[in-house]
Amino acid sequence: MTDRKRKELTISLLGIAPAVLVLLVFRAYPIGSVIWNSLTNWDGLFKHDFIGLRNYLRIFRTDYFWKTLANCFIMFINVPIQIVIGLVVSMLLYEKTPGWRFFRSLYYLPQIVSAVIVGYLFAIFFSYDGPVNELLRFAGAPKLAIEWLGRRPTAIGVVITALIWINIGWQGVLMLGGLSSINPSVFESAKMDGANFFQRTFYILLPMIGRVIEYSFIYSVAWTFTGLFPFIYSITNGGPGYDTTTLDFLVYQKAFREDSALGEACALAVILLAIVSVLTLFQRRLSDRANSWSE
Amino acid sequence: MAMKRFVLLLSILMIITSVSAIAQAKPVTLTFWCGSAYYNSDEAKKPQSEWAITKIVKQFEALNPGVTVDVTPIEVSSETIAKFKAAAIAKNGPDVIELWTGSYLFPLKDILVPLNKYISAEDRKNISGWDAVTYNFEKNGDILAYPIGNNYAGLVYNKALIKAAGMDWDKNPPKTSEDFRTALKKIKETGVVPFGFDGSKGRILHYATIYWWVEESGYERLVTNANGTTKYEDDKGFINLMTYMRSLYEDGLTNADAATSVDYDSKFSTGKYAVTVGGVNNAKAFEAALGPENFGFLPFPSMSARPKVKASIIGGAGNCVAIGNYSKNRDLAVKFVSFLSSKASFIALTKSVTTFPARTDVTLDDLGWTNDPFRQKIFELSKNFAFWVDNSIPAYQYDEMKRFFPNILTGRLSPQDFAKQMDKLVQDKK
Repeated sequence: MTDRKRKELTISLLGIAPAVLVLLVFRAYPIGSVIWNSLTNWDGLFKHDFIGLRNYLRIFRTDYFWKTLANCFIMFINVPIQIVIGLVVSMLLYEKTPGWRFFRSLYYLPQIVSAVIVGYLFAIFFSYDGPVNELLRFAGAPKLAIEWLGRRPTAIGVVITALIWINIGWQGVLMLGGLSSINPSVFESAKMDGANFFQRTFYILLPMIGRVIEYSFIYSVAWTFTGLFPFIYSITNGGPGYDTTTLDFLVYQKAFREDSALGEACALAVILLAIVSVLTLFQRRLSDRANSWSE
Repeated sequence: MAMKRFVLLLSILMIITSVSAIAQAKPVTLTFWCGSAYYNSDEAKKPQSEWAITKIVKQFEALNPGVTVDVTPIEVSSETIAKFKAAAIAKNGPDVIELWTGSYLFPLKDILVPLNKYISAEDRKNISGWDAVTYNFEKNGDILAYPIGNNYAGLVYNKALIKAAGMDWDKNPPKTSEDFRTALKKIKETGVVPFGFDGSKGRILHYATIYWWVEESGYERLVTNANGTTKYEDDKGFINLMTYMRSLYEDGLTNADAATSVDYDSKFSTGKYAVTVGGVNNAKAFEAALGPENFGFLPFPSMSARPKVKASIIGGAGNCVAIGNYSKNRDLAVKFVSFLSSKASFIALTKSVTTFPARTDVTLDDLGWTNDPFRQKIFELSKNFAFWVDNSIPAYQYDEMKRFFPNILTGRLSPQDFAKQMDKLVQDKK
C-alpha cells in the first residue's frame, strides 16, 4: 500500500470513527447487554446467574407468549389500512382539492398529540357509557352498545382504530412527499394520452412512489411490533387477560411489574428484535423484487 | 524541651478537636421518597411547604441542627420500586423510602437495612404491624421497615338508596352471602345498580373477593397454594368465591360494565350505585359527595358457614418506610423514621392523610374522632381484621388474578379453569 493510500485510509477511518463509536455505545452495547441478560435470571438486583436458554424455553412454553404474538400479527391490519387512507389523503391534497390547506393541517393534527392522550381519549370514547355507545343508544341500536374493551375482537378493533387515526396524517405527509417528487409533466402527458384517474393511479403513481410505500410499510410494521406500548397501556392495559397484550407491552410487564423478571423481559426483547429483523429483511426482499419489476 | 513537647501536643490536640468540630458541624442531607401515606391528593394541589409532612420534617430538622431532609413526593408503584432498585444498585437511591409491605417488600431485602437492632423497645411496643415488615413473616426474621398508615376496607353504601329499597342496614345489615344477594335483588327492583364493580381497577377483587376467599380458605391455604404445596384447583374457597362473584354479574346485580369500568367511585358518589367497596382511603371523598347522613359502611357479610378467618374487614399495614443499605447516614435515617412514626407525628399526619396510624397507643380522642361514627366504627372493627392478600402472596400470582378476574366475571373463563391456570403458573415459576 502506498503512503498516499495509507493516509487516505487513515483519514477515512478517522472520519467514520465518531459515528461507529456512537453506534457501538448507543446501539451495540445495549443490544449486547440485553442478549447477555436474557441468559440470566436477573431480578433487577443482585441475582444474576447464568441460566442458558432457560428463559427462552420457559417463554415458548407459555400460552401468553403465543397469544401476545398473535395479537401483534392481528394488529398488522392497521398497516395496509393506514397506508391506503394516507395515500388517498395525499392524492386529495396533491390534486389541491378545495380546502386542501386546512385539511393538510387537520389530518396531521393527531400526530402531534401524545399517544397516551390519544389512548385515553379512545378509552373514554369506547367506554360503556362513552360517546360511541350513547350515540348507538340515541340511534335506536342499544343492543350494539356493548363493553367494547371487555372482549378481544372489539378491544383489538378499538386499538387498531386508534392506530390508524393517529397515523393518517403522517402517512399522508409521507406520500405527499413521494408524489411531489414526480415530475408533473408525467401526469400531464398521461392525461393528454387519455389516461383516466384510475389508470394514472395504478400505472403511474403507485409504481413511481413504490419506494416511499416500501419505507412506510417497513417502518409501520416495525412500529406495530415495538411502538404500541402507550396505546395498550392507556386503552386496555393489555386486558382482558392477555387479549390485547402486545410483545412490547409484555416486556414492560415482565420487567417493571410482577416479580421484576428482568432476565425474562430481556429474552422477550431479544425475541422481539429477531422477529422485527426477520420481517424487515423479508419485506425488503419482497419490495426489491416488486420495485425491480416496476422499473 | 518538655515545654516545647507540651506545646506541640497541645497544638495537635487543638487541630484534631477543630477538625472534628468542623466535621460534626458539616451539614447532612437525608433524602426521603415520600408516598401517599404521608400526603393526600388535596395537599398535592398545594405548595409542598403547606403539607403536613413538610411541617413534621421541619420539626425534625429543628431538633437536629445541621440536618436537612430532602422530601421527594412519589407514588408507590411497581414502577417506583423498579426505579428504587436501579438507584440502589448505583448507590444513589434515597436514604429513606416509602414502600409496600409483605411480598412487595421482601424481594428488596438485599438493598434495605435490617432494623432489628435499631428499633427501640418503645417503638416495638407501641407500633403495630411489625409482622407485615418482617422478612417472609418469619417470627425472628429481619425487620426491613417501619410499618406506617393502616388502611381498612369493607363495603360502603348509599343509605338513601338502601332505604328506598325498604331496608335499613344500620339496624339490620345482611349477615350472610344469601342475605346479601337478596338485599341486592331488592335494590335492583328500584331501578338502581345494586353493586358497583370495577373489573379493570381491581378493587372489587382487592377488597371483597379476596376477603371472602381468606375467610373461607384461611391464610395457611393461601400460602400453600402460592408455594405449590396445595392446588388452587382443590381450593373450594377460591372456586366458590369466584363463582359467587360471577353469579352476581350474571344475575344483573352489578353494573353492566363490571369488567371494564374505571369510574365506579364517581358513579357511587353520584348515587348511581347503591353499594360498592371502599376503605378508609376513599371514604372521606364518598362521605363528602353523599353527605355524612347518606354514607354507610358495612362490614363484609360472611360467605362461609365455617369461616377459617373470623373478621369483617380487610386491611392492615399496607405501607411502610425503609432505609437503603447504601445510606451513609444510617443512624440518622433510623432516627428520622422513628420520629415519623412517633405518636405526635402520626396524630399530626392523621389530620391530613386518610389512613389510620399504625400505633397501638393512639385513642379516638387523640385523633379527634369522637364525633365521627364512621371512623369510630372502623377503629373498633380494626381490632380484628384480615390482612391484605396481595401483600401476602407473590406479586406475579396476584397480578394474574387481577388480569383474569374480568374474564371470570363475564363468564369467558370458568373459575375451575382459572384455578388450573394459577396452578400451572406456580409450577412454571418453580
